[in-house]
Amino acid sequence: MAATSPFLPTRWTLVVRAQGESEESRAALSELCENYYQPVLRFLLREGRDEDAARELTQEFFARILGRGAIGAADPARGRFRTYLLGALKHFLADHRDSQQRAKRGGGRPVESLDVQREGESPIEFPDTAAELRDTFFDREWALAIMDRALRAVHDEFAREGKSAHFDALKPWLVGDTLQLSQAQVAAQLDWSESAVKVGVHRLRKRFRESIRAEIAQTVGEGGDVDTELRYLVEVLSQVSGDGG
Amino acid sequence: MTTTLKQCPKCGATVPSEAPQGLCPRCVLAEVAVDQSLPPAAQTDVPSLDRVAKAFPQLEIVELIGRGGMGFVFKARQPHLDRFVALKLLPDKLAGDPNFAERFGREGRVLARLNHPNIVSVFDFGQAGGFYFLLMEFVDGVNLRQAMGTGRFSPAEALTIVPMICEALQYAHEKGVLHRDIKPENILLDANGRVKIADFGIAKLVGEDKPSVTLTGTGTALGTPHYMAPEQLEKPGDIDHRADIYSLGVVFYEMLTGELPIGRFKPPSARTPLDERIDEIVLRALERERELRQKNATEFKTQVEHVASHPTPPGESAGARGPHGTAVVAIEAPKVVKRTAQVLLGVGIFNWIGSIVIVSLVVFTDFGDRLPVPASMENGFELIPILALSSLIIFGALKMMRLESFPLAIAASVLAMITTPGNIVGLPLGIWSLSTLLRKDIRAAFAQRRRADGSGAPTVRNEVSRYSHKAIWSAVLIGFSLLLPAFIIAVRALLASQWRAGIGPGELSLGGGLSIASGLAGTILGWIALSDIRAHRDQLRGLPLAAFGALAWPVLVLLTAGVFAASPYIYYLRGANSRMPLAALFLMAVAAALPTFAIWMVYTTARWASGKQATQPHGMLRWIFASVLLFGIAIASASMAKKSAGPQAGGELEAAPTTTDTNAWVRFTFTAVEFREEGEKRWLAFDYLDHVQGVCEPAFRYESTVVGFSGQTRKSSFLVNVNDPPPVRYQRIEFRLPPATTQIQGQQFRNDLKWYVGKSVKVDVGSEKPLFMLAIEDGTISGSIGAVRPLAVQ
Repeated sequence: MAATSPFLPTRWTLVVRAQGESEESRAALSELCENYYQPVLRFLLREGRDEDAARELTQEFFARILGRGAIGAADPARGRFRTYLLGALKHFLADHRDSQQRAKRGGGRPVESLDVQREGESPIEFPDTAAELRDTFFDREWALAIMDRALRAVHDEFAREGKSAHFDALKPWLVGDTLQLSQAQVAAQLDWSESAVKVGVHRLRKRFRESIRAEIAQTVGEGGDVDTELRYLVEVLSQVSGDGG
Repeated sequence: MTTTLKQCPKCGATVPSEAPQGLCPRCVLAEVAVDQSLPPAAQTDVPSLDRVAKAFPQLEIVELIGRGGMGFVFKARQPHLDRFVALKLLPDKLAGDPNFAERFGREGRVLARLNHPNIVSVFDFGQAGGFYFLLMEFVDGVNLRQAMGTGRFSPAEALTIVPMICEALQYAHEKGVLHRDIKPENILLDANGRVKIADFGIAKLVGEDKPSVTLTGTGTALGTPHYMAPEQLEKPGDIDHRADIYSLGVVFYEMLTGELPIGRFKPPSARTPLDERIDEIVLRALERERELRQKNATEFKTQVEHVASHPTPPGESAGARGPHGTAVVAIEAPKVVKRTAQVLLGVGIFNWIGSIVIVSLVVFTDFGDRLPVPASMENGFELIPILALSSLIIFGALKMMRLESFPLAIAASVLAMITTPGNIVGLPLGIWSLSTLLRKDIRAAFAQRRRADGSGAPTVRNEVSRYSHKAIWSAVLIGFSLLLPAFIIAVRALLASQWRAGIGPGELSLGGGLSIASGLAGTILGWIALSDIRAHRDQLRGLPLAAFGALAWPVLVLLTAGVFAASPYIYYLRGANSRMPLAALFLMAVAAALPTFAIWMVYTTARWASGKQATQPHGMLRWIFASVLLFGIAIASASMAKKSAGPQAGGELEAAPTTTDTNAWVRFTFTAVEFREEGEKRWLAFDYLDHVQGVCEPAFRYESTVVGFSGQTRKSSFLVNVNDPPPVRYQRIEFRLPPATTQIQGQQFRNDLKWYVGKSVKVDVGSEKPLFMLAIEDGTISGSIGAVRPLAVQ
């Protein structure tokens, strides 16, 4: 059951529909980019750049997307913002590398690369496992970003009600039920009854669920399935272990 | 930068440092993916918010908060009162039912009158915009199902919630309202921890209290029958408040263990560490028969509060054993004890079977003569103590397996060493068993078990209990009925001896009639008392008296029947010669089974009345043992009877002096000769009397042999002539004529042998006298008669 109202289009839907031609859609795209800055940055960091260079590159990337307005060759109708962004990022990186190489090798002159395809020859294709890993890494960062945004949203709600302490005390149960967590302890801490803790946990989970589904919904297009995307993200998180800072 | 890395409490993986809020990302997202608060259902069913809003202009409809077989629930706001309410819309299908309106009105009024802090209040009800609706208190919280979803309830928590539910139930029951659909979804908890029960009586209104598992258009099944009491499933029209108590028991169980009590379920304390007295409460509420459950919600509450306020420290068991036997701490007997006990069991059983077999052989067949049995086994008399001791061994072994009764286990081991015939094997085994039992750790295990059983904390029971009047009266009546005949007989004897005037037939029949009448009345009253006591175990006492009243006459009748059935054959036995016919053995078995059955009746009735479970299969074994024991006793006494019957006049059981040389003789007197034909077979038969005289053993055996054509000997079958006192017996010998003998020849033989009729011949023991010689085609047939010395004379 989608948590979004059926009446308001998601941001990505907006972008796709208008192909960046309207004010609204440009604003929507801009918001999306703002929200998903982190995954791009971390992706670029992983590519072996130092922090400053990565940051610069990220800025450049987003500038290019937003400047264009249009979202380029990727087929937006089928994809989601995530896949679009990853595609765009890879294109960007490829272009960037080429231009860098050109600059290095003594500006402007085309270099004959041994890899260049000769007439009539088909290129030797090696399966690029590294690429897969990169993609998965990006998706993982994406998932983390989604989670972070959803959590922040809920946290802000609680803070507005003056209940940040509740949020902090109850948030461990967002991972699910486990004997390792003691409801009794929290009850004592907050001076609540155990039932009240149960009620609180249940509510927190509900709100978080709504929040994260809303977040995901914003990034899938029309007819997009929040559940599928969510499941995919869970899968991604299960595969990749943290690479560390 | 180094940070101490945490572990996710759910999946155990390391939580990466960049994880938002320090939570394991995988688990968090997985939790969301799994969680489905409402099952997917056709959207078409739900009335649109628009439609609802139009129907209820005075409310602000906020959102749909629940759906089920009982309709849809919306959260709404009463702006006028500035409060939230719950708007329940009953299923559309009811709108078509003409009777429904009237029922709805009636029920609605009743529900609106329920005013209790633990019951969701009904503010208003009626019809609007094509809906039947109920306007109810809005509870800002979760239902028990959702609460259980966040983790199992601690026993302490459950014990605070349940009494509140009981209070609500009691209040409603007193107003005559049953809930009929108590389940976790209907029990609400608010943030303050207060309990509120929703949907009282709605089940009946909507027709949901019957377990029709039909599918609605949404594809969901209506109602889960797991919470319904058995009588609600079987006879929905005939339920009372105890059905709610059953449902509460199910909910309680689920709160404590996280599972439903279906099939052969374990008591709650087996699944979760908690006070074992709670088991009693839960199991009692879950009794199939409603008479055995708590009689009302207040009783349930009292029991729960009692346990809550008198906690036993963890680790110690309360020790008391309730009717469900649940409060026993079962300590596993070490394997070695089990093995030893099994071995002892084997020895005991071997003794049993072996001794019966041997004694039967010895007493009843010739075969037994050739067995090298100890002299003590000759006499069936010895059978009884052997059987008793073997039973003790068996009993001790069984107790040993459960670590009970240390002295008995020792006794069983010692007995195994000395009881024949198993003592050959029993000696080493008994020693082994003793050495095992006397080990320090084994002794400690027994002691521990004893302590667990011994300490008796009070079971949860009401203090008030009175003696059942019916039981008393029943016993009185039975006593009267039994004593009256005795009294009459005594008086008769007295009168007869003193004044030669007996009691007339009139008085006798009056007395007899009175006796039977009071016996009947007493028996019936006793049964009524028994079932009363069973239903109100907590309040009524007097089970033994009621059992006596109910069973005295039936048992008496059975026993008398048994004696009557057996008596002709006991009498028969006294005149027995050798083997007992099969029919007699069978009748003895029946006669032994009847008293066993009578005793079993008493025992089972007592168990039934005290509400225990039915006898388990291994319990039946005890009864089989008992009846075989009785059978053995019967055989033993039969053989005793046989020995005492002898050729003395007047049947005195005088033991004759035993000598190796007897000067006895036998006089054979012939009374008839007969030629018989049966198909192809031809016989010559002699009837004669034999009369043993002189000093000899009462059970002296003798044989008469007639050597037939090809060396056949034929034992005689005998008839008892009841007119002649023993020891003279009629006998008949038959011998077969060879096939070649013609009928004429046979008749000729008979004529020849007729000479013997009326003659007698004296034969000393140990000697043989020729009788006749007949010539036939291929040789001769000779007949002789002899008195054979017994094989072993004592």
